[in-house]
Amino acid sequence: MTWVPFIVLSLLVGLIVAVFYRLQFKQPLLLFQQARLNVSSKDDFVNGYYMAAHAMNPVFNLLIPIFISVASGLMIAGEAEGGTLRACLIRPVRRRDLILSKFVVLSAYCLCLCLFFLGLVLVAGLLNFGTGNLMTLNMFFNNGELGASLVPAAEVPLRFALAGLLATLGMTVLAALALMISALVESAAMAYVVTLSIYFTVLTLRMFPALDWLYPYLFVSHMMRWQQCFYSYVKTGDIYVSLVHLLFYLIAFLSAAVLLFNEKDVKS
Amino acid sequence: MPEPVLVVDQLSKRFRRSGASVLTAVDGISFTVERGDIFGFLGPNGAGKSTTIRMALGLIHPTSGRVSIGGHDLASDRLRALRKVGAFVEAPSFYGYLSGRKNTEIFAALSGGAPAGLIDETLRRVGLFGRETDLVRVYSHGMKARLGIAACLLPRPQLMVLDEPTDGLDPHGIREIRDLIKRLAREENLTVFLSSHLLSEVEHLCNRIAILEKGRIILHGQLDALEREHRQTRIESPRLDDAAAFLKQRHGLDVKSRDEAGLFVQLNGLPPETLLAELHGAGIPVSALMPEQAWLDRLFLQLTTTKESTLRAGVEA
Repeated sequence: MTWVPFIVLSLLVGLIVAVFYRLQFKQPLLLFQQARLNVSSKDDFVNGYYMAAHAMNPVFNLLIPIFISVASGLMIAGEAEGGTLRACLIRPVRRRDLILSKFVVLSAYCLCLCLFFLGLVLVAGLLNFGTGNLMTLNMFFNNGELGASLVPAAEVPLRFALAGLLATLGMTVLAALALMISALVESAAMAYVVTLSIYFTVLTLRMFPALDWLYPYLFVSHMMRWQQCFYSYVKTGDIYVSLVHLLFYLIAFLSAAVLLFNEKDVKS
Repeated sequence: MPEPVLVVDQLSKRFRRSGASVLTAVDGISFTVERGDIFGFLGPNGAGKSTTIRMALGLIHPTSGRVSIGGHDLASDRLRALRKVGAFVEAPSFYGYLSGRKNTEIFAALSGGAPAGLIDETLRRVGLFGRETDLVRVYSHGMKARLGIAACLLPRPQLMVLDEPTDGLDPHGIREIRDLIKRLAREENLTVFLSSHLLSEVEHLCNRIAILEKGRIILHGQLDALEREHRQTRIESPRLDDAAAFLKQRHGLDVKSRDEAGLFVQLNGLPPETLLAELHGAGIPVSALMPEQAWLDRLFLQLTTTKESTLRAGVEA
């Protein structure tokens, strides 16, 4: 089961490459021209970096959160359903150690998924569409600022490395939340449904302008901070703020997971 | 003085249900399992057996009371207490996508580790050597039960807790597992705490029992003492009324129940051969005189179907 996400991500990257060959990119071309960037055809901005940066959005906002929620649901609630959790807990191990070891494994899984996807999408993009400057439209990379960004080709690899690290940390926070939910409920299905419900609800809250005062406090806002790595200028202050928030949420979710798991009556 | 291996003291568990209602699954039970015992824990479905076992193994937190294993309090010294235990609850559960050997290695590691030689030896003892590299998902129920027992044995426990070990097995598998438990208990000098709703299993294996009903222990004692106290004798005769009158008049024995062909009496230590001779001497023909076969079944049904059972066995050794 743990291999399924890797297969799905590989297929998705193949599909994205195929789509990029067929698309004419008329709308982005128009928008880049409106933003006064020096482009006259899609060849001026469509390259491997452009493909990889745009592929990160659906994958880090949708697919990887789903994979992580399912994996963490199976780790505690799924093992409780299968009976192996009680087989572990009737042995002389601390519950805290057990759940933290699960978190370590889950974090490693997150890291593998993120690195695998980033590596694959970059290699596939660069092999098929070459390198160049990275141009992005802020409408796809939400920071509330309008317009387009341009990152010089020499800087792009570093930007991807930073974006990848931030995105992976964000996914690890989601893993801690999912583990907390998994320690709380009795079935794996319930665990990932609840986790994804929370995630998508918070994600939806970001779409209401009336709630913009809430954005800085939502963990999802900080999980998506990696997008800022593709702006013309990286706001390091914002990145640090997000790092602190993500670490805070990570510790909070993980502590809650340990407390809940310690108090859990294993009835299944 | 027998050494207590498992001490359950005033253990209770109340579960909050929807609304304000509370379900008392276990209600202040106490018992002791001593070294060398094969202790049968009986009760109808929903009596609280599984909840008690889960509390005894630290899976469920008691509302009140305490559990001590090998002298270590489970609440304050959980790791040391569980180091002396090999157990499976409900059904032995394994990672189906791993081999039997890998599963035993994982569970042995959780119990502090076991050398490869010991794992081989244990798998051989439970009859799985040669099949240990097969994935557990292809194992039969019987093989899983044997693997469960192997996983229990690896930490070299003082106490083995087996919850319904023969559940789901065919008669051949049931006999295999019973023989295995008996042999291991003898050879390893193990104390076994066995939960079952199969009374014949308990009768075959155990030396002490407790019967749980609605979260309370309604009978607790040495099996042979309980047998002496509760096992009845069936007397078959063409003159049942005369036989009943003779028993009452000569020995003060009441007929417990009767049918067309025979009656049941409690002999209260009177040797059956003496009674047989006396009945013949009194001219009352006896076509059969035999000990009750399913005495534990009858006692169990009698106790667990009575609404407010208050019987307490005073036969604790």
